[in-house]
Amino acid sequence: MSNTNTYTNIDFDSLLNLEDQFYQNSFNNAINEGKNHSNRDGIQFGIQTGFQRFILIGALNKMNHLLIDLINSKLLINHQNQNQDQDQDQKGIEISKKVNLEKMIKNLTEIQKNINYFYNYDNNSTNLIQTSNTPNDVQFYEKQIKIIRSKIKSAYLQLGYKNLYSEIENSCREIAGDIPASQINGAQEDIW
Amino acid sequence: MSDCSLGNCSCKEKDKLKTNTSLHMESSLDNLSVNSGSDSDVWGSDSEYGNDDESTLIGSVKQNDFSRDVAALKRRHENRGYLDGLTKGSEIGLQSGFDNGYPLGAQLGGLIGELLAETIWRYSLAQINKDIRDQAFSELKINKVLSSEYFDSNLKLKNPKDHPIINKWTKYYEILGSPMVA
Repeated sequence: MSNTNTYTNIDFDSLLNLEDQFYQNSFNNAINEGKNHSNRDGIQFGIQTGFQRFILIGALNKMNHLLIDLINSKLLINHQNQNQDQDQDQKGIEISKKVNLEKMIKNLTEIQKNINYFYNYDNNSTNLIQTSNTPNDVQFYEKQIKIIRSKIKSAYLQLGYKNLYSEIENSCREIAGDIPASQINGAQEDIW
Repeated sequence: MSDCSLGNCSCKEKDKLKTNTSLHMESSLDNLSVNSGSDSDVWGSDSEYGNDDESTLIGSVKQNDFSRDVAALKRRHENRGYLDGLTKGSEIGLQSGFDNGYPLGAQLGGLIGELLAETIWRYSLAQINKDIRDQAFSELKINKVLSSEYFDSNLKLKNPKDHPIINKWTKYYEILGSPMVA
């Protein structure tokens, strides 16, 4: 009886899993070593990729503000011209200009709303982009950049700045370089 | 055929060999039973080799073989575990590092993009000349902005707006005044 008890007290599983024990102990120790070793490389790569992805958003944000300011100043001049003594034809031209300018302001304000999603202006007073590398945020970025790009191209055309978008895009490439193809989900041109 | 009486028969050689072998065995046994000094540190405790019983010897030799096998097994699996752990750890470290660095890179990229747009705009309005435009383009380049001298040892920045290059060009354009045409 006592012998039986002795045998039942032995953990046979652990004896049989000796290989697993040796493997697992070494595996667990090496994981931390590997983490520490590659973490710095990961941070550098993350900063670089974030920079390359969002330089265009920053440039379009600033350009949008500049264009809104420009059109607002034109609207002010237009308003002053309308108040001056003018003939009917001249007044008609000024009114038509005003309608066009207001339409442009509306378009740019719509684009600004799309851009502002990245700045999360409601609870962000720093004017810095707020994003992360979560799948949701990455998917959101890819969707928004397509919308912003197509809206901005047509808005710039309306404003008479035919080549402005391509100039901004090319300058961003010149400053930040191209994102390596392996980092892009989908076609490379989608990013830009 | 060889003759035994001549003393060069192979059967004599065999006898000689047999004697030598048994002598060698005995001396080996003596060594094992007597020698409990430095060797015992390697092969086990003194008590294991305390008597000359042959079965104990065979048992201890088997024990040694077993220990050697276990050691080899241990070494093999530890090496494999280490390599797999290192690879897995590297993947985790790379991904978590990437996730940590990405938001800061996005903020820096956004700020540089704003300065870039202002440079393009002001140059198109002739508010800055080509030399200034080229200087801005050169200094705002990614390799200059992400130079390690601007980051702490953990690759962090307290406030991206305080980055010296960003700070320099922001102030430069502030001094120039509004970029709007009157």
